[in-house]
Amino acid sequence: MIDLQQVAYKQGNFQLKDIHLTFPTGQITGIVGPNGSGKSTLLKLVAKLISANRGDILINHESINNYTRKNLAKELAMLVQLKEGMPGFSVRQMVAYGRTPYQKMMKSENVEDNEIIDWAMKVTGITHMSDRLVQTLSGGEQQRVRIAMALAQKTNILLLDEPTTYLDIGHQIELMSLLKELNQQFKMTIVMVLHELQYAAMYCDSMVVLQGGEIVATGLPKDILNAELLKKVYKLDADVIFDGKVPLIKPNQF
Amino acid sequence: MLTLLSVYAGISFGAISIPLVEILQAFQGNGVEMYQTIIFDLRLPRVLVALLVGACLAASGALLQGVMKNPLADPGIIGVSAGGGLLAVITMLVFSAYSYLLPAGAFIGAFLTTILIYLLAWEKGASPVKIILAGVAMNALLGALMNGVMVIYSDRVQAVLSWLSGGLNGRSWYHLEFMLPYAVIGLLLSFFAIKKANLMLLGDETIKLLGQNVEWARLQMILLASFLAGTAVSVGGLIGFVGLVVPHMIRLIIGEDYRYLLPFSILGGASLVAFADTVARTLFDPIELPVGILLACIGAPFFLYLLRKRRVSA
Repeated sequence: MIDLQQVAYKQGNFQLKDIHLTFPTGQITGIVGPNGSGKSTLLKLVAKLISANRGDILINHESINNYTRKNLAKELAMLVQLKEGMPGFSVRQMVAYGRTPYQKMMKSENVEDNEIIDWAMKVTGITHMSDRLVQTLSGGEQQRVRIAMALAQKTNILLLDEPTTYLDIGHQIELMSLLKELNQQFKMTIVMVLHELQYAAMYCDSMVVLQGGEIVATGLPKDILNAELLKKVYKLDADVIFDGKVPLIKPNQF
Repeated sequence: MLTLLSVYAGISFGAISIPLVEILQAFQGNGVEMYQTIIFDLRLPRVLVALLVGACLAASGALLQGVMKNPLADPGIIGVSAGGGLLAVITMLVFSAYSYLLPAGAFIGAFLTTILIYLLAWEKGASPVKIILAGVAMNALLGALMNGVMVIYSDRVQAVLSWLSGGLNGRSWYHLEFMLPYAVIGLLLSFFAIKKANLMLLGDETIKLLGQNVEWARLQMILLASFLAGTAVSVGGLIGFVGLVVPHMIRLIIGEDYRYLLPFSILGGASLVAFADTVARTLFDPIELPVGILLACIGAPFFLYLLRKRRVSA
């Protein structure tokens, strides 16, 4: 369980105000909102990549300030947004770096490490490309390698910052289904920032909507994703029709 | 292999050529006396110094390019040349009676400048870009100071010039003994940095998420790189381009994985400097060219060629 208690963060003109929020264990939570609403910042705070000006963040009832980086890396893994190209490593070597929190700097992988690396590659379906260079893979394959690396950290919590960016719709669905599977099979707690409201509704147990650094709605996708929300948060005039878990967002003007 | 060849060339060629048979005999202790003297007193120590200088420069460049995430990083930009140069020039000109302190002076200057640049670049952590900018600024300042000292003591400037252009002329067992311990320590430590250097390629955020202290790792690697470069500068003078070009070439051939990149860069750098020094020594016989000049003449065009080639392929 991740608890954010009155968390505030300020940088330049941007600020997150008084965020009070819980990400329940074993659930998938989707964070949505317009550009610049503070979604990524929220994830980075939880991962201790930046630190809050005020308030506290608890993981398993323990403040993240009491975790060393190494110990936090055994509880929580995160896929940051991909900005730079991938390095010239083989797929397996890249996944193996996920074991870093458990290793001494000079030691190479032991039997247990290798079993976990094999497992992570199998779950993400990349075993057959073990020796290929990560650079030579497609966007969808690279994303799976990065997830395998995060899985190799053997954490209970996985954070993802816009994991579907740069992927085509086929690979997007494939990736989201993989995450759902990880959540159900291994009871992983997953929190992700998403741009696509449809995916948030389809795959997440609950949604958090941010606007201008404040939470404007939280709850089940079905309860909060509606015409009113789109108007208020995205200034969009559209109807929302649910077909089972799948929402159809129909703009009235385009 | 290439390294061995360059050692052979370095011993064999010169004002007096020595055939391989004679070299082998000399090593067994029963060669011609004159050859013995040339090999053991002149050429062998010089070749060994060249190997070490090249190895240190290349390792330093390889590490820096990883830390700065900038393929243009070179020992020159972290202030090693300027800082080392200034203190060396001051030692040579102002305290010319103590010229045997020159290597130590260059070494200390390089080290202090690196630390100063790191502190200047620090603001909630030192980003690679800031380190490079601080390095460029410091280089300009220290270069100016160096020229100032040289103008003031212009009557004694001759000895300095040869050092500044990076020559290995007259390098002997004394120089080898001076740099050997530092070079060995530095090169050994660089092997401990391989994993860190690889992790650096994954990006700052990812390293933190893997539980590592990125600032600490970066500082360690920069200090190590400056230590290596300072070692090379202290004996070899200002030899440029090795730290820049060698890791680049190796990267093009075998990729950027430091488990291979670092050892091959070390061998490549050693071979290049030893080989270039032999060429520089014999090319305009009897005038010896400082090896630094020759390396810059090869290195600069080669570097431009690399840039062009990359642009075409990208």
